[in-house]
Amino acid sequence: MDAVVDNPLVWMMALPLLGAPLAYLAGSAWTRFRSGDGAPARLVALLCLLGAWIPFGSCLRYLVANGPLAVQIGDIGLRLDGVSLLLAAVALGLGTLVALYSGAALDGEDGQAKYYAMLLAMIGAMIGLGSAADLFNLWLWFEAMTISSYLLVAFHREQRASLEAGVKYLVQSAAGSVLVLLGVALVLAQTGTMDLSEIRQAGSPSAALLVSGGLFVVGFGVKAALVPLHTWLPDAHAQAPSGISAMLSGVVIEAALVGLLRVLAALAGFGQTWGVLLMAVGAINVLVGNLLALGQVRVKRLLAYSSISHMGFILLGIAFGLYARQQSGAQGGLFHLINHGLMKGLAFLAAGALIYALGLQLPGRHRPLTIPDLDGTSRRYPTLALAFSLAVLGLAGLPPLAGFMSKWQIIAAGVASRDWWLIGLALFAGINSLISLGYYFPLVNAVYRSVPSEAVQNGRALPVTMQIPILVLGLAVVALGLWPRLVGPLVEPAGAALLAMFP
Amino acid sequence: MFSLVLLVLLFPLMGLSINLVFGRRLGDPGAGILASLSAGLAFVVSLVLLAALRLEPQGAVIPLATWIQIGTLDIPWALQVDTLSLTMMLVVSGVGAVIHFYAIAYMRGDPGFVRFFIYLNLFLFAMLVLVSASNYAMLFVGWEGVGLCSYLLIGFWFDRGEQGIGNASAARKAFVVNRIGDLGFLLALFLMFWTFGSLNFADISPLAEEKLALGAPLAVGITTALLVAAIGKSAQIPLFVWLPDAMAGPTPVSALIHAATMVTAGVYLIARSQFLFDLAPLTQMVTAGIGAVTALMAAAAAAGQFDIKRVLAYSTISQLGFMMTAVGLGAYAAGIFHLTTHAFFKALLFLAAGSVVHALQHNHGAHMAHRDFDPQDMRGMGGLHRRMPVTFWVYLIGALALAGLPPLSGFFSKDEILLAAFVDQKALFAILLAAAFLTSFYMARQIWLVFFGPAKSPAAAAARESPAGLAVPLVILAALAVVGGGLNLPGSHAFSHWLERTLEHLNPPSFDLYVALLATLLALAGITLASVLYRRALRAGQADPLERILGRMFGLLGRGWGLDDIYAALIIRPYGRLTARLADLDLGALTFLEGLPVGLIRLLSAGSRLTQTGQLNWNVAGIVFGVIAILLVLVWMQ
Repeated sequence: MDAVVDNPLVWMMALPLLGAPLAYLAGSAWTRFRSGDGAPARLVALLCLLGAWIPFGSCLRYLVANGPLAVQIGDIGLRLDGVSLLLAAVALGLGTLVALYSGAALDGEDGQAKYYAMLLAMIGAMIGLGSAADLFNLWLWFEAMTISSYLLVAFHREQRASLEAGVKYLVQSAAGSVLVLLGVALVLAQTGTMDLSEIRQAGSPSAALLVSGGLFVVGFGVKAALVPLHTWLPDAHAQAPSGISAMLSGVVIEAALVGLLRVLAALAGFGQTWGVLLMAVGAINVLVGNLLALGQVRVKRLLAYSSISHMGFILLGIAFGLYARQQSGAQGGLFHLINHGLMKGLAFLAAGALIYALGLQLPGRHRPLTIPDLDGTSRRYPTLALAFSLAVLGLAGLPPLAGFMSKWQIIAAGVASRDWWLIGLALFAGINSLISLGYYFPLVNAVYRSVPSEAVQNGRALPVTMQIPILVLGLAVVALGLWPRLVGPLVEPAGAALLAMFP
Repeated sequence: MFSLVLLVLLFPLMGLSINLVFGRRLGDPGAGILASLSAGLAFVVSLVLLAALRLEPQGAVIPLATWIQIGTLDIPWALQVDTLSLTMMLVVSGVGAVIHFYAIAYMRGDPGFVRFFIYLNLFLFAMLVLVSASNYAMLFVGWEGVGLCSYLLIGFWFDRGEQGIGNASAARKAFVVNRIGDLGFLLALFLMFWTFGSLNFADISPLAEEKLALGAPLAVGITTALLVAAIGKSAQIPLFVWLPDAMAGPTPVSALIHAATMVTAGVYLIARSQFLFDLAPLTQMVTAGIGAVTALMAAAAAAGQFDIKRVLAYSTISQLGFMMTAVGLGAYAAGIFHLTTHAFFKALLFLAAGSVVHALQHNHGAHMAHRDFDPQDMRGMGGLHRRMPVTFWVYLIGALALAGLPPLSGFFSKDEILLAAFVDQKALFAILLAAAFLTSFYMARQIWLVFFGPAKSPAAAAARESPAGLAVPLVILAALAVVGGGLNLPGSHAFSHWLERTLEHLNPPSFDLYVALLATLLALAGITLASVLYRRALRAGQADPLERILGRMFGLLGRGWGLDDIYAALIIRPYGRLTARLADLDLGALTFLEGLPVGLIRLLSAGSRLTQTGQLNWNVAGIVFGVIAILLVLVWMQ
């Protein structure tokens, strides 16, 4: 038991998970004395999330010094490697900023205690998903993440659009989950074990394993928004509160991808197959996300569609790495995972700040933020406008921002493989990055128009708690563009771990 | 001790940084005083270095940092202190400080006062980088830096001039023409790195003789590329067209950049590359030839100008031609000597001309009747020698020094060049003699038109002597123009021996009485001829007797031999036609071609939006189809 209590991985996961009921209880208890359950719940959430950085630091040091760390709690097996630490870093980082940000964004709404409780539970579940060592637990973490995120998507339960998005999300996720469970059952029947590393040794490549792999791709693919399983995403990501949109686009879909990679890795003997499959899906994702985003006038929906395209970039990088057995592609994909979390998180938070400033979330005035609303934002909110532009230009992959560095690494990895297919795909990705300017630039253009829109002129001031997360993310987007080595300690072990997963 | 050279660079940099931040608060004249002070301090440090170099004449290279290190290419940021670079530093910072000081009074009340001094200090910094560089790459940085400052300062009054863009286009012209020279410089850099694997003077100097034979094609190639660079920067045929237009800048700029320092960078470059040019007699001959012909043609063009500053501009081109001839003939000491004295008397002439323009302009403010009055047109001057005595006397000193009358500085330096040509190339000697004759002629013409005869405009009639802030620098420069020749008196040749520490086998030719006498007599003849012509013409109230004597030739001279027209006919107009054609092509066919992919993407986008129906049943069915599809694919792939 001591080994469990001393283990930093356990603490990193347990703090948000234990904090979830605590936050809800604190909020409910507080309402007996004062109105509004948001403040105490947010305090608990922030304390838990900030506290989780301490075991995170220990985990990072341990990983760098000693390599992977495993722990067994009863039947639950956990294993910390580069990939799980990277996912934990993005989830915790974005989660902390979103918790800070949501105070003002949710001002005056009902059920805030539940919001923070679910946010904590979702972050804890994602860390668990990243470090699950056996198939069944991995499925459980995956479900826990889905359920908590479902409640968050439908947070504005009084709004029809929000409920519709929630239902779509729930039904499609459930369909995906069933397929995953089927896959799990097939694997168990074939190999007689659930432990991911044992499956690889136990099972010889067989048709049943291949089928279960297909089920996993589709099941997890629903959550990871692999085209054509992405149809729920624009509704869910656009209707959720902006902080949650940031989490969903920035971490949750990526967490599903990590889960998919973990289970595929266990199905040994098909490494190349999965590489080719992911590459094809990645290329389709890049293109379709772009095409869908091109005609959008609603800002959050546009950002949601662009997430599909960026998932494609991440997939391409990882698939290049798996197919050509090279570190740089896998590292590029994982680097883009971090960058996309930062940039898309920043874009959603900035859009949310604008929704708050223009009062679009207020009862009776509820309507989506559109591109014409952005007109002349820079005149009234120069910092916000700059941060939003940095995010959007970073997503477009303009140097010297973070997005350029990771996209460039992915494309360079494709070209360096000297395989004509991969070079072609890298070129395709580059052209798509160019096409994406077609919807990113109008956003920047609108923000820097000289005449502010009427909505902007009548906007209200932004509170500091909203500005701090936006500034932090904006600085990160610039800093990672100039010094990509800053995340080297996260990306390099993760890239190595990813390749090690697929022998 | 030699590390003090860092301060020479640092002072102008500090001046410009402080002005950049606090300039608006320092204001007028605070910012100007600060800038002048930084230039003056740079000069004082140069003087200390001079004392140090007298004790240790071999000098030193002061490494500061590694700049570029790629493969075998290793370019340090290092400063060179030797007799050649220090001479240039002294001229640049010394004359520069005087001109800075003059500019405080000259630019008084200009709305861009602070900006002007920031640019001026930036120029000084770039020029000092150029002359203190220990390798060609650093030299190129300074070279481009002074080019940039020249552009910024020519266009300083960018909203003035013909149709409000005249000055801006003059600045652009200077910049574009200089690019041609810069291309030469870049080519030389590549060739040198390819040949020697290094760009440091200290590395190339011994390697040159080792790797290249006398007259080797590569030596000719490198030196020709360097010569192209020098022709651009030092305004020689056929690239001199930018310098007359550069007079659009404020007069202190013309004095500092376009007379005393920057335009001499080409001469410095060739002197600095002696180890290469000595191996390429062909290039040397071309250099000397271009220099001599430029000297003659520009001197003739100067006689056809009516703008007081354009006369001086063509005179500068002509004198630069003298210097180029000198370095082309291998008489490096004579070239650098003439560069130094020319800095004195030409800066003096420009500043004195500025004093005249300043007086006319400020009087013109009171007489707004003549809206299109040009204060630089000599046809609106006259009779100023009584009303502006100080300016007249210093102008006369400058003019006589330029004409090369003994014992003024110009006599000694020009005589050395003439002598070198006399010993080496008799034909060049004859050309240079003719140029010297024309020099004294056009200067005498200018003196007559500006200072004698009746006042030809109300502004000239009411002109008053300029304030002390303008007069004091004039007197300092006049003194230098008088005694500057003492640097390298025949017999002692102190300057040549000083430069011999850096340059090789200079062997100053001994003074030749007959050459000196001939040159002096020709100069006097020029003055006499001009005086006879213009005395009579001014008395008769005629405009310009040359116009009558030369006829259409005079107009050609006024247009600088029509070189601009040739460029317009050969390059600018055909290029304009070509771009118009290409624009048509772009708007027609290419726009259509661009439209194709854009239309395709639009179509695809609209099509894919159709799939986003929002129908949940359809979506879930899609998931099931997805399972089937993926299984089929997996089966197919195995």
